[in-house]
Order: sequence, then C-alpha cells, then structure tokens
Amino acid sequence: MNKQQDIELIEQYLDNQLNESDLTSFEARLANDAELRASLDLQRHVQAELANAAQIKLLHTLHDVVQTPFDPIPEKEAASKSYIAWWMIGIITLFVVGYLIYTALQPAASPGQSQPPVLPKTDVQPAEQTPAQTPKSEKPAQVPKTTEPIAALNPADFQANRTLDPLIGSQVRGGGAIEASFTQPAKPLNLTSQNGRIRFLVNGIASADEQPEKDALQLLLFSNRDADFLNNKPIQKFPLALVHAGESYNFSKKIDQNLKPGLYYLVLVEKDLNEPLAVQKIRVNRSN
Amino acid sequence: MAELRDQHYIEAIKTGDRVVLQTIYQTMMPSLLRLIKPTGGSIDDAKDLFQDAIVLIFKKIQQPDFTLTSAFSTYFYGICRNIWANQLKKKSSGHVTLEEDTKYNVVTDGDWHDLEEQTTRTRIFYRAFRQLGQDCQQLLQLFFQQKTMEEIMQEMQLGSYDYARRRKYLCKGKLTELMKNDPAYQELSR
Repeated sequence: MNKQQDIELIEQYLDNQLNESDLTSFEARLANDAELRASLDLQRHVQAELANAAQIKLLHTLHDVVQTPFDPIPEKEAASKSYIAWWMIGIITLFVVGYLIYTALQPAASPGQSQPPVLPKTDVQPAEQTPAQTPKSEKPAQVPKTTEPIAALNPADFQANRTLDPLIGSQVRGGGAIEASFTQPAKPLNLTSQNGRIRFLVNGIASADEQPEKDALQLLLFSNRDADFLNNKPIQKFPLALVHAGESYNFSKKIDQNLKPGLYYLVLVEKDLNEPLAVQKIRVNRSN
Repeated sequence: MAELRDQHYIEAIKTGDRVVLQTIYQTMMPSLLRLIKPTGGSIDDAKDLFQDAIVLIFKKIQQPDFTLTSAFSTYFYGICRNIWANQLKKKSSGHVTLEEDTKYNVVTDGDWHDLEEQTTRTRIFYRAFRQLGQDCQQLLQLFFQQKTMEEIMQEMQLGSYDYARRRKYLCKGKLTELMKNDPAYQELSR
C-alpha cells in the first residue's frame, strides 16, 4: 500500500469511517507495523493542529511579530531616525546659541549705532539691563549657559539603546519576588558634568510578598551600547539598602561618577539576576 | 493595575492580538537575550524561544483551572528559562546549563513536560505548514475546521468533490513528509 493510500486510510480510521472488515485488517496491520503507528500518531497530531483555528492564527501573528527588527547589533537603520533627531536638535541649538550670542554682543560690536540693540528676552527688569548701563569693555552679563553643540561630540554616544529604551517607564518584571521603581529620577535626566564628574540622587520604592533581604536590589549603570547590557557589563554596580517604610521599602543612592558626555541607563535589578525591574536614562552633557 | 495589564496580556494570547503581542515581544526580548546570550544563544534562538513560550501559554490557558499566580513577566520569563535550560541540556549533552533557580519552579509544576512536548510538536507542525503553498494551507484549514464540502469547493473555487478530496490528501501527504524530515521530529520520535 502506498503512502497516499495510507494517508486516506488513516484519515478514515480517525474519522470512524472504515467498515468492519477494513477496520479489522487496518488494526492487524497497526499491531505489526511501527511505521504505520508513527504515521497514525503524526496524522492525529496534524488534524488536531489544523482544527485549532485560534492557534493557527496565533502562530501566523507570532511569525509576523518576530520579523520586527530587534537585532541590537546592526542598528544603523533604526538609529538613522535618532541620528536625524539629534542632528536636528544640534542644528536648532546652534541657531539658538548663535542668535543669543549675536544679540547679546550687539552693544559692544556696534557702539556707534544710534539704534538700541536688541536684547534677548529675559525675566530681568529692563531698568537694570539697559545697554547704556553696560560698560563697553565688559562682556554682556546675560549670555545664557548652554551645553556644547552636539555636532562636536560623538553622536554614537547619544544613540538610544534599543533594548533598554522601550522599557523606560514600564514595570518590566515583578510580582514573583520584588517589584521596584524609580521615584527619582522620575523622568529622563539631563545632567552637565563638572570636571568630568556627575552627581545626582536616585530614590525608589520596592514591594515584595515576603520580606526581602536588605541588599536584595542593585542599581546598574550601563552605557548606551546594546552589547554592554546584553552581555551584562555595566559601568558600575551600586548596592542599594532597602529601608522598611510601612508596607513597602525605600531606597536611596547618591551617585558620584566620572562619566564622559553621552547617554547612560540606570537599571534596577534584583541582586545576581539579569532581569531589569525598572529602567531610566540620563544624558550627560559636557560642561562649559 | 499590574494585574489588569497581565490579564490583558493573557487575553491577547487567547485571541492572537497582534498589537499586544508586539508589546510583549518588545518588552520581553531584552530579558530573553540576556538569558540566552551568555550561553551561546543567538537572536534567532531568542525569537524561537519567545514564540514557543507564547504557544505554551496559549495551551496552558485553555485549561479550565488556569490561574496566573505571579506577574505575567515573571511567569513568561520562567517559562522561557525552563525551555532554554532544556534545550541547552539537549544541545550540549548537559555540558552547558543554567544556574538552578527555584523561584521559577512554579511554572514547571504539574503538566510542564506534556506542555513542552506539545509546544515542540506545534513548532514542528507550523514550520512544515508554512512551507506549503497558500492553496494547500487554506484547503487543509477549511477541511479540518468543520466547513461543509460545498463551502470548501466554493471558497477554493474547486470544480469537483473528488478533486478537492484528492488535493486534500496530496497537501496532507506533503505536510506530514515535511514534518517527518524535521530534525526536531526525528529527535522527538527517538
């Protein structure tokens, strides 16, 4: 009997459509033919899978979902959007800085002009800021502090980390042992380094079904590079001390760290585990 | 709030909601990559693992007594961890293993091995099913989803009952051959 006939026969057997004599001879064959038994199992399985329309729909959807780019290494395509965004910010910053410097320097640059110079809008009272009162030899007092134009920095250091960025603001894990989140910084932080160092405070709250160990949480500081996070290579690990506060636990940590300009990520993890509980990012700008 | 979201995830798996599944994918992939990369896994392994875990949960939630006893992300991660641990054992003959973590034992209680095997079988089935032409895929689904012969012939624009029947057996034959040739099927049959 060829395979095609066997397929028909097995289907009829599964659908209870064999007459008595065919059924007897089929069952006799089954008893002695391991290959036929394997075919019967396989076909039974195939029919069950085919009949499960919801599962097939799910499988199709999953197949599509995982086609979404998620490769953290070749991220040129995805990064191009953030490149454009950063360049736009850079160009706008340059324009704004240029305009502010230009307008602030106006009195000194053209002292003979009778027309009063244009001043940047400030909250300072005009009486204290008239050009006549500004000594010609001095620089104007109101040049706004800005960070260095991004174009002078390495744009790669400011690219968003594709694996961590989507996790900001969402509770990534929790419930099983500990849930934790940042209360400070509650949103992405923008810092300016002083002599290459940055200082800021991290506060947060944690809860757990059972009393956690005091040092159950760690704060990890990662660069913006996907590989560093994926290979679990933080720049720094900070132990966090949990302090009991009513039904939850608080933690607090002063960070004082040498960091070059760039984008960094704070990741809360349970000690010795890789799964992030909460994620926040900080952007470090170079000081003037 | 978290419970509502978790229930939302479970509902999305039941119904195959693309948008929510996409969210789960984006949320869980970093953890999966960090789980498997140190033990030699690739991004494709992580994608397979993600799909297997969702399918396993789909099967699990068909059971009337199913309840989510932890946060969805913990449950999902635990399932992935166990699937990956078992795959590692097979791939490396026990040379590469994940550290034991009793926290995730809860997901492997009860019928874990059955569910894991069923999930593997589903993966084998779907891998073969996708290799069939669109016509074959549609015809087989119609036949086994309780459509009448008239509906099938009309939907597939087939001329005769005999032809439809012959096509079905041909498609089914091709499907089972593809499955038999899958190394995962051969491993399962050992």
